[in-house]
Amino acid sequence: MLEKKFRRRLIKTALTAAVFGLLIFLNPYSFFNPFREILFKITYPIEKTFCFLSWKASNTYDLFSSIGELKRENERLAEENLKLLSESAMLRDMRAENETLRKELNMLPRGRFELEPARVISYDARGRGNWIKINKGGKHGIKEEMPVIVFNSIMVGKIEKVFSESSQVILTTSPQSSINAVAGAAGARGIVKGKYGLKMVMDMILQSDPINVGDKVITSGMSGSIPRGLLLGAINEISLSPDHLFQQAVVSPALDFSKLDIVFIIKGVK
Amino acid sequence: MALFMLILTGVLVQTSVLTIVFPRGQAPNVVLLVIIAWTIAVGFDKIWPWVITAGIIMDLAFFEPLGKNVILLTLASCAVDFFSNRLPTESRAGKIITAFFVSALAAALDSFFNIFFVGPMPFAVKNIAVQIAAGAILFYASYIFLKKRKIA
Repeated sequence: MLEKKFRRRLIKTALTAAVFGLLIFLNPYSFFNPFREILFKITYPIEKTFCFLSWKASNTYDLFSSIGELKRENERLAEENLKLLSESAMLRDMRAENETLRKELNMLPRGRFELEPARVISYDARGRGNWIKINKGGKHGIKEEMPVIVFNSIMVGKIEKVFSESSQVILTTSPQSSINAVAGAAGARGIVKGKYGLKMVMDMILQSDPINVGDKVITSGMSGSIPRGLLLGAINEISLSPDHLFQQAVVSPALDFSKLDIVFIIKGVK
Repeated sequence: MALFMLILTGVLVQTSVLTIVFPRGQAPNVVLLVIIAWTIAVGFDKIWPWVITAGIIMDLAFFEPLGKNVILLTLASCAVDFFSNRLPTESRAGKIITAFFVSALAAALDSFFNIFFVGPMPFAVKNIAVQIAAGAILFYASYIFLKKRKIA
């Protein structure tokens, strides 16, 4: 009797594993997007409320656990520091290029983006920092591949999937992310890829290109809809690639992505 | 409908609450813990369809390949059902020991599936300790609730 019961359970489990294992193998990812759309339509208001309340609770806890005034001051300084960091990266980049080249290459003017503000409503459930979900979607003119920034020029990711009222943003620290970038005063070019959802690695840098620890890494403007000059982070480690043909640099993001609350989507240039 | 809402709430708590309260991989897998607690309380056979439903909702909400969490939850539920009778869940001390054991087991199983399907992640003892402790509390609370209500 007991053996029969166990056998039945094992059959159920094996059947489930076989059917869904086959689904994983076939991976019809976009086939399920309409189902995701329905699910997100139902969950949107709850997610928004949960996220808002969690941030309130988290911020209250932070406030109590730190010395009140110092915390606020620290936040203000951190914000100011971020603004200065991005400003400094932009200025350095601007100095390196002259206006003629700018016109010739048809580069985008800075500070003139058409921005759409959005609130983060959910985060990578695994805590890996690979994606976030925002409360703006197709209804608000959001399209796939649009860059997502904070503080006007710090890039945090790009739009991966668009639903009617929400969108999934792949963060720059996600292994799925790959962006053309330049670093340092000499403008060393390379490709920035995410690693572990915590940091980035700038790869394919020519050995002849000088880069230093502390150099700012910005977007090169060669990755589709991503404009030039968005700050990705700073170099904090340099090494040779495994095949010893290129240089590799570990890039630390300019801010802690787990604390993202409000972001801006670049819809275009004014 | 009530059970569906309960599962949906669990999934939303995972993405919109726990990831904020426990950032950087410290958040326990709340749906997995509830499914294990539910299995111990009422048995695998009674909740099998709900295990699959929970897995599908998780896969859709977490932007993961459909089937990954269904397999994880089904395997966890079936495995726990085999030894659930041997778990000391009568006394309070027994429940606490069970909670920590189950939470550690869930964290290990969840990590294994994530490494297999998503990729490696840096190992941090502090994060795992927080994940197990938070998971044990969540498991304890959900087990008491499900045991009292006998929901199936």
